Amino acid sequence: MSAPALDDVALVAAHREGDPQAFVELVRRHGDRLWAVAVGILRNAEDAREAVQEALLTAFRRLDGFRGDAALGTWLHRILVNVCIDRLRRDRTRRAEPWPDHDVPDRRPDPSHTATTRLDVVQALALLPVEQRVAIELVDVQGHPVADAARILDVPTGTVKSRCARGRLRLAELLGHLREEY
Amino acid sequence: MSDRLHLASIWDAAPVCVAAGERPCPRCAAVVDDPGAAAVFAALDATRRDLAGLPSRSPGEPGQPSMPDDLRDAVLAAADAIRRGPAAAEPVVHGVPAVEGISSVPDARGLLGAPRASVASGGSGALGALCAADVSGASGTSDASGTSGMADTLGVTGPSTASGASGPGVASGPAPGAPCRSGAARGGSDRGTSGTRGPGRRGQRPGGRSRGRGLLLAAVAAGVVLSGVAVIGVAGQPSPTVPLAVPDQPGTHALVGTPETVHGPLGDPARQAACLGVVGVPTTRALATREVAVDGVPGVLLVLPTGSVGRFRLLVVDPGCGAGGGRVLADRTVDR
Repeated sequence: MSAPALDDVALVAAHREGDPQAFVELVRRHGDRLWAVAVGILRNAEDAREAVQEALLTAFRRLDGFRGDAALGTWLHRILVNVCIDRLRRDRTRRAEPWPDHDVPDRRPDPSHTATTRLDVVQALALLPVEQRVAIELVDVQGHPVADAARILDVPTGTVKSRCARGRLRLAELLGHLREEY
Repeated sequence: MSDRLHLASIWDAAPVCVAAGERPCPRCAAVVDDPGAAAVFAALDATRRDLAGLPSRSPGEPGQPSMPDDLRDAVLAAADAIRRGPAAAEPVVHGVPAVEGISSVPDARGLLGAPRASVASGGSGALGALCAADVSGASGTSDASGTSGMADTLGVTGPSTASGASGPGVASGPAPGAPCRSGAARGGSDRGTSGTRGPGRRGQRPGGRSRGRGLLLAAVAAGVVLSGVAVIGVAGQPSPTVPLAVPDQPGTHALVGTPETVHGPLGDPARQAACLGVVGVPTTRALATREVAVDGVPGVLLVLPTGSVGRFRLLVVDPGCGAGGGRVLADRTVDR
């Protein structure tokens, strides 16, 4: 099979007809990008491995039902991002670290203390709500256009913009670029 | 000062738009005569620079991480196995066709109804005994802690190494009938990405009423285990294997562990990932593995995370499980 010459639509058709090399080619074609997205969102190689495997096997099982409403790459990204979001939410509910008694902050933190506790970008991203974090990862880190991110997340473009705006604002505060207001 | 969120929402507009005769962009208009707005934009610009400083993820760029080869191989092997043997990857659970996708992960419920399953239909059996064991040690993520935790899970390390040493399963043996999802494994991680729910759905939980009976049988099995282990411990006789349940006991099966083989044939991460893919489990890494025997049938026990605190999935597969195929011998989810 001359797989490299086929576009995604043709590969999906070949897959439906039972060509085992079609899925191999799809993984070769999209695997690196999916891997990059998973690592970018999850920031953990092991989690990314599991997420990518889960997403690709889900795609494999559902490929017969792929209708082509969106580009195959977008469809694959959507599956993967949903898997990542599930993982982030799960991890967030799992994380329950005790707060040390001696470090309970005042309602209004000391500005000098705030200035010396700037977080790095990855730490700050991890503190964002999952939806904002994923939107910023896709748009600001991965470089997807807002419209593409909206298709991947299956939400309106305005929602992506809103999530990005809120997320950036919070990041600016967490990173110490903007003084927090209460 | 202007509303910060409003400023953030118009921050995307081009920062330079003051060409003569052109209409100012919203961003420029907002900055005019408002130092506070300028400060917000400056902060957002700095944030953007920080984000841009993260490792580039754009495909094709230098330094772009590519998908690991072993992960690609595992995915393709799993897909191939699904193609060749869909029955193995998409079991029918109590007459309900498995939901397409991740939701069709075979779990204990499917096995409970399958003739080849080694787990007793009453929700007890070999892994029922495990349900009563302490699985707290299995929460480690490294191989070392994982295998150690698995030894605790099996509760066989002490007596099998004998010579007077008391193993964790004996010295701190949990009370028989400790919390155990004996009736069915919960589909903690089998939520579909499209919002569909698989067999883990509450309404489809089979054997719900038999949970109490399953717990009782598990307690009986655990009691038998502890009794047998205690006898062995008193006698001080070294034993290469330790029975965790007595086959004669109604509703139980024999699970025999060899604690000196803590990694087993699935210690290799790539093969383990391929095996898990073949049997349809959406994870690539077990917390711990070891060789066991279920009803005399050799197998490899994999202690898997479920995504829920204190809950683990105990999966026993055949020793040859890998990219070429695999078979589930037993499957049970236990609570800590």
